[in-house]
Amino acid sequence: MTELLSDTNSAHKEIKIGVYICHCGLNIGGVVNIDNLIEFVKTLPFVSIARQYKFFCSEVGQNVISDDIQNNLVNRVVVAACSPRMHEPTFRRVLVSAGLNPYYFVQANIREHATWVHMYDPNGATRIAKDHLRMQIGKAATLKALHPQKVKVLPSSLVIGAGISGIYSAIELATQGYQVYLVEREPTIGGHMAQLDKTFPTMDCSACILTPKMVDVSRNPKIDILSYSEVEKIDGYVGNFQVTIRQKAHYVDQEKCTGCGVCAQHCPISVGNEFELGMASRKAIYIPFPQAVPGKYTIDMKHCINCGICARSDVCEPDAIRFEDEDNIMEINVGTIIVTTGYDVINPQYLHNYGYGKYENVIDGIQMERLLSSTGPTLGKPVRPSDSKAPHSVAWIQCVGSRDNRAGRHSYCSRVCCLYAIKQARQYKEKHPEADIYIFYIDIRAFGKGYEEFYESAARDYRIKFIRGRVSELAENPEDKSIIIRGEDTLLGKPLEIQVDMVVLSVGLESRHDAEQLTSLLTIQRSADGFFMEAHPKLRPVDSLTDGIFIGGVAQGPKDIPDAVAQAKAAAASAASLMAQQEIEVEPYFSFVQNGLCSGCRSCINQCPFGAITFNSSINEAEINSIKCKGCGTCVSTCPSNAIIQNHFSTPQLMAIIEAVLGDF
Amino acid sequence: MWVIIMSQKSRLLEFNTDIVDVLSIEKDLEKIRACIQCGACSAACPSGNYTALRTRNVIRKALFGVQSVLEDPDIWLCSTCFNCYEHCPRTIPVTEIILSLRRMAVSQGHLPDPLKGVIHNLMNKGHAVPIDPKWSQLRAKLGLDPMPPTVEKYPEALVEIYDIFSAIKFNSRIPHR
Repeated sequence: MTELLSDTNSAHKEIKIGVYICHCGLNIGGVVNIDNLIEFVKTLPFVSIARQYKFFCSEVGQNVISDDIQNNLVNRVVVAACSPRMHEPTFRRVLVSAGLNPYYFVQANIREHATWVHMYDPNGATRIAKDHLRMQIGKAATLKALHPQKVKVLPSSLVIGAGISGIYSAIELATQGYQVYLVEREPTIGGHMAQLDKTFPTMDCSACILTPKMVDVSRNPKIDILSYSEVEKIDGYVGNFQVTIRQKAHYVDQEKCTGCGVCAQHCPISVGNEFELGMASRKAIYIPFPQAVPGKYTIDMKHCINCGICARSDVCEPDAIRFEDEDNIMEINVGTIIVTTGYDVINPQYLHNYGYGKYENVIDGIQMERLLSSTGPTLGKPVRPSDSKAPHSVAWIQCVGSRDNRAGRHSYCSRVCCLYAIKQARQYKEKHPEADIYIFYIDIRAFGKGYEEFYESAARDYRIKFIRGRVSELAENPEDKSIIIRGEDTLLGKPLEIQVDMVVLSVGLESRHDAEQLTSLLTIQRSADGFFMEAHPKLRPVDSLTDGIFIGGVAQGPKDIPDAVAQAKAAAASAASLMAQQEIEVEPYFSFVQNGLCSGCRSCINQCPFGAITFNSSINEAEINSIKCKGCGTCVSTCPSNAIIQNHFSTPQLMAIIEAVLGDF
Repeated sequence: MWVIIMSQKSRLLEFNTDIVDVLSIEKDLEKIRACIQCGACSAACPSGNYTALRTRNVIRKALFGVQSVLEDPDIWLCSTCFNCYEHCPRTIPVTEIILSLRRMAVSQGHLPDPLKGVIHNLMNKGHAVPIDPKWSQLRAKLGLDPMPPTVEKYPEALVEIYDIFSAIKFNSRIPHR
């Protein structure tokens, strides 16, 4: 350990700090007085050179730094520019190519922390930029050479969630030869897409494009489908995750079951079918839908009365029923993890103004999808719930639960509702050309390929009436249970009242209700909208902030099928490029215990959020696994004997920063 | 700040930020700038169901500084039931904005005639709705004092009320005569 701390290059004994202040175009240069900053840093200790340039991240800018290093003018580099999250790797590469240890570099973020937040206060921004500069220059004088650690990456991946995104991530990785464990908590894979009837804007039948992929996954020898299973625990780190998975008891031998369905015919218990959103029933022994993969039966023990009929040898000929079946806990080791857990549909029951759950003829979009589906409860002939007759007039209400800052709603746009409403309206019009169809919208967001044309045709060829106005409330006509809509046609500026036979609420998408559990299991983050957070919204859209864990599909934020598939494939590609290296470098920011100083109190062990610290009873001291350690520093501040040092953020380095900034006080 | 679209002679829209600048002094009212003109407020407006009030339109005019919003009677048709506020997806305090617009309108001398009568009564009799002569006659017939013991009966109480109005500058702001 101490070897890593010691300065291996004796030529660097004399500290020469080069300070490079980037204009970042007008982002920094347009706000602060850079000449003033240059004059200021020249007065600071150890600074040998201070230069400015429009873009130090450009090739020309990088060469300026590289030349100074090679000419022995500088041996510590401070770049004052954007966030290190953006360009720290860029400048570290410059140091390496010029022959300097990359950890002799620090970046002062004077863009996000000074010029962007104090855009209208140039003097204030300059003062803050000076503070950031002297802090980083103070630290630069105390930097030590460090060497990245190498870890092996297992050539296998865990994909959590087997909707369309998870299926595509799994297929991509398996095709490249990696072992994939595809975990799905439902008894079947397929996710929400299996519930959809057709897909916009091409009107492809959802089942026709999804189910072949489900079969591909189940036949692929490199993919292990772990359906009806949930991830219970994740240990380890990038390249070497140990995953504990609970395979819930099916109470049916999945090897022996042939999926013949005779058991379900004989089962006396009928309950609401979740797949049909309660609009049809299923038995207590069931498969969610006929095309399910794996097509094996499961007993729902919450409703089963243990009558034993399904276990009779004349019912289940293969003798597959196992009432005594138990959950199975299995452990796997994987190199990478892809999170494709998808979304929940917003439940409009909590949005009282639309009377969902109170008025029979107000349904939500996903129920309409099942009503339109040829495999749905009405075999593709939509009827209104109150009288089971085909409605003569239907209205879709947009932005239900989306684009709404009020409590219990979401301020974001769910991105799919405009098009699915138009699609459903067109489908209904195809079946009932005489019907009156209305769509109440705020804005129609038809942004995808072919979407605008699809919208245009809905108005022109299908004569769907688009009314721009948000509906505030719905009321039920007590006589015939039709729904009265009151809104404003904002384009005419006139209030209007329409009575329709049925209303469809175009509900949006929200993060999974139990997403929080997964964030703590995986130590990944969620953004303010509740969806999993990507490492960078533009440049690292499928990476999480934890190395080796990637995010695909709607788990990252609402998106349509093409975007979800694209992102799932991107996540697979990112995971594959990590695994293809077989061995990767990780930051040497770990903490370590100085031998002989540790008193063996073990207070650090409980504090470590990553489980990286163990107790070595033979020497009575704590030990830190340098790969598991993420460098958060909690143990350093916990240790009562000051026995722990964290690389790159050691106590002397932090004190240098504090002394530099408080120097004037 | 004035921005003029096309020539001033035309009937094209001119917009300025005078009204929204005044509204923005209050932090919460500044939310008006986030209005997406969805119409939920108008749809929820019980008054707008029977009158010419288009809440959405009032907000739009205020946002773009269309002077007629202060001159037209629309803002006085609001019953301040707060239904619009409750339905606004951007949580804009619509009702508060209408009340603020009324204060602006009044300070510019735009007060609807019926309200002028009410204020005249307040100033001169101490009541928005003073006693009807019919009731005075009835009281006399029943052997009661024709004037009940309210402000109107005591001229010194009326002076007190007038002093309060002066202190809050009510009488100088409101054109009541």
